Amino acid sequence: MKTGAARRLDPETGNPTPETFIEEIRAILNSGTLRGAREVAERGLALFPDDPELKRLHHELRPFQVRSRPDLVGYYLDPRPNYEWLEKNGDRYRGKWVGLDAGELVIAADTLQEVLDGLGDRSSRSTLVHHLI
Amino acid sequence: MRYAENRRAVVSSDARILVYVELEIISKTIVAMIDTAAPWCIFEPEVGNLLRPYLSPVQEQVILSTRMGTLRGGLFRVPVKLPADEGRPLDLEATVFLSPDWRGPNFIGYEGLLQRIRFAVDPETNLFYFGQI
Repeated sequence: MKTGAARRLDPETGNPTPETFIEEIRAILNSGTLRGAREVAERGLALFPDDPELKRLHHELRPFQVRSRPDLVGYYLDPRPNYEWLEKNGDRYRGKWVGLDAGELVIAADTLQEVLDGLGDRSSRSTLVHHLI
Repeated sequence: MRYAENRRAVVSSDARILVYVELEIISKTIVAMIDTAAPWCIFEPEVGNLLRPYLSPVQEQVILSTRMGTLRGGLFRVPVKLPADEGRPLDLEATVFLSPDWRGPNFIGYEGLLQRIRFAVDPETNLFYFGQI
């Protein structure tokens, strides 16, 4: 189990320090999960309420919000024209960043920044930025 | 959302599920590959460089084991939107691994995004269904 490695440290025994909890959080994240990390930060904060790194981690590990956007129903256009362009032209632009708008090439460049500059204020409604790696 | 099963948009001999992800910070849409086996979302380094100034890390110096080897990078909460060409888009925060050494495309991982939503794939129509839990 990946999370097993994260439990090798037991901050509840011995003389834990803030670093004990921070290391356990790091071990949890290195095992590829967030599960349990916030709880460790909470346990650490109970013992060290003024520790800035534990406070920061507790904040960064806060629950995630997902929000439905009914106000944007119908805003985005069908992405198929852009996908079709990539399917037809991808090989010719291999290695480039491309900016597409409703199935039309707006700009192809070596860097993402050039493509963003080329797309300018065009809205995300119909545009796509893609790296043909 | 309609997805691409695109063999030319990424370097791959296999069909992949590629979906749109709008990056709130730059108001631009990129394509990312759905990977339920990946723990985090992973964005290309150029995308990461653009986002980093606006983000504070959940944790720097995180290790991620990939089929391209072990990478060191940082974990960030990145505000994204899942555009819908039918129905309601979703706003959410993705947990994204950013590493200057990543050489692959953008990925949408399970722990980093997918487990925060309901989702389903219809391979017959290339539709990616999603909604709030």
